Amino acid sequence: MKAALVLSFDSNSLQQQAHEINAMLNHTGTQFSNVELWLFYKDRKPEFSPEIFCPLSGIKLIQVEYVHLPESYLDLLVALMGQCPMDLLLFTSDGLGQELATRLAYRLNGSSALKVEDCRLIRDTLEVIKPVYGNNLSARFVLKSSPYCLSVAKQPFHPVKMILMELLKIKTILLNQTQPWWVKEHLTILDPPKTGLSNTDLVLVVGQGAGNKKTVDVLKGIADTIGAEIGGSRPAVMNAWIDINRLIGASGLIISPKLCIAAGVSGTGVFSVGIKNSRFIVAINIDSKAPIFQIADVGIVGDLATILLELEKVILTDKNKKQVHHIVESRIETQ
Amino acid sequence: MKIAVCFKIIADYDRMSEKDWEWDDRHFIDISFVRHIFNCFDESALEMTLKLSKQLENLPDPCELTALTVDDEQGDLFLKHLIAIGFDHGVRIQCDGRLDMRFNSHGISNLISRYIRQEGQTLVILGYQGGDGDNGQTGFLVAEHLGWPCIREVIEVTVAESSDLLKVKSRIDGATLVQRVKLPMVLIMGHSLDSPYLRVPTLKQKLNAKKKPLTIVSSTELGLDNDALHSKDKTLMDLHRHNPGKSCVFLEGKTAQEQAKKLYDKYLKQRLSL
Ligand SMILES: Cc1cc2nc3c(=O)[nH]c(=O)nc-3n(C[C@H](O)[C@H](O)[C@H](O)COP(=O)(O)OP(=O)(O)OC[C@H]3O[C@@H](n4cnc5c(N)ncnc54)[C@H](O)[C@@H]3O)c2cc1C
Repeated sequence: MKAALVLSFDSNSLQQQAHEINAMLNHTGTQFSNVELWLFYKDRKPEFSPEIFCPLSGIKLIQVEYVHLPESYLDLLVALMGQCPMDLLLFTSDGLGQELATRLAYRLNGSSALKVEDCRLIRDTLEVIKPVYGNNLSARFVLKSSPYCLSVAKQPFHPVKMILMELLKIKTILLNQTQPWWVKEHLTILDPPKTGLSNTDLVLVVGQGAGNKKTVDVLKGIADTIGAEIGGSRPAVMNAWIDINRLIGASGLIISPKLCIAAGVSGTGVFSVGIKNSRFIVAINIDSKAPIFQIADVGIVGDLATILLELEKVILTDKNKKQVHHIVESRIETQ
Repeated sequence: MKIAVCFKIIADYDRMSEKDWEWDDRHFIDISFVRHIFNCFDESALEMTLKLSKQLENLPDPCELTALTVDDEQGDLFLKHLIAIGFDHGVRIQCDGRLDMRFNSHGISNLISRYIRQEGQTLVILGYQGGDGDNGQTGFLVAEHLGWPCIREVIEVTVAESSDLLKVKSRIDGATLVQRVKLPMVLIMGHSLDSPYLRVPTLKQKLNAKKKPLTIVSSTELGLDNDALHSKDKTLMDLHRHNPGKSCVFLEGKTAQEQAKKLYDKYLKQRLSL
């Protein structure tokens, strides 16, 4: 079976996306006779590519003119599949990857699936595993017709290295591209720099249970004191209590800190998938039956603000003690 | 301008306990007893459309709003709600109950696009994903069936200078994209802070809506029999419920102070390098 891994060189998350594709190849890599990397780029031809954990038989560098338009990528992919057909295409976990997988499969009479956690070749058919019922269950499907176009599942943050590409394997693809008739004007506004949320040891995640913005502001202060990054469930973000780039869950960030405190979140499947890779989870909720306790290591049933304020006091007291101790010790040393 | 918003109501899974996650031979789960709600992305799509129609009021071309769902009778109550808050038409496409449409985005999008074509809508708005199937594909496939362009992860839509031009803000990798686009078009809503929740009807609006009829269209009326709707894309083999494998230790205490102290001393102190 021939497979192509489709990535965008200009993506902000290229190395993380390659990690997510590698995670899939871990299961299936050996099952392919031939794996190619198809790397889209806009202006400057790339010399480096993210490290892929299986031998690549070729690298295609594809220039795309209208980077903001999925339709441009689609036209190029259809043309490329005409020239060098593949049985399987692995796309990234983000919106673009999901859109390309779905629409390309439609155009080529293939099958597609999104958020694929695992895929296996069983005889001549492809089996995939993906979440269903709001991440409460996972389902195994058989995909019926090739080309199989899969967008892989998100994974915790673990970007791969960039490596120099082997020149011999590279082929540059330049194809005609037509200007879209429907876009009259466009403008791209870049986000502020990424939060440290994906890559930190301590996170306080706040949910709807916080009740109001004032309480969330107090919680932000507590997070500062204890050195935690703050994240939010969807309602906490939609209520404008917490920035949208701090949304945790299936449609936000997947985090894996050493310690995650989840306060006032019910723990629905779509949320929990965002924190379940944390090494240690503390849940605070007034409802002892809240599903969040099923994934927590330690739980407190109670009002989140009261408990977190007490926790802050305990931590500050201990910190001060340590500081006094430290000052006394250094005085003794200097005497 | 004729606008259709496609929505889906979903079971509030939070209300289900561990023992409710059981399925029958056909892998169906009984969710009939669970409260049903609008999918949150569809909620944003519906609210944003109402806001958009307000802006269109000032333009010569009248605006006609259709709320569309592919569902059985349980969808009717929600359609009435939408009529109460300002939608002109409530349309439900009914399939043969024996068909499993949960994972069949192809079938659903085929039905939707046939209805859109028949009614001559020029703007279709849908939520990004949701429902039992968690497919996340319907919007993209509606665009493919119709042969229209599509913008995903939309966060805000306003009218540009004429009614066939829209200013659409959407999220792309690490940025917000602002485009002035020409219709027809499919828009797929993302996390919209501009329209996070759907408005609530007044009692008077509710009573008025009761009198308005809904349109029920069968899949065969749209030219699609069960054979044509059968999934050609994938077959479900089995389901699996994850066992988190954790047993949570609950920290008791007479006061919050006591609980917080226990939490810190026993579990956090060694983990927080303060
Ligand atoms: C397709 C789809 C994708 C989604 N993706 C995401 C996602 O990525 N991330 C996400 O978060 N959501 C997502 N959602 C929404 C998700 O379904 C839930 O609605 C959401 O996670 C609930 O957030 P919450 O737990 O903060 O709020 P709620 O469900 O309202 O829970 C609040 C909790 O706070 C507790 N509480 C109340 N008061 C207090 C108090 N004083 N002290 C302590 N506890 C208190 C309550 O007991 C309750 O358990 C998605 C939904 C859909 C349909």
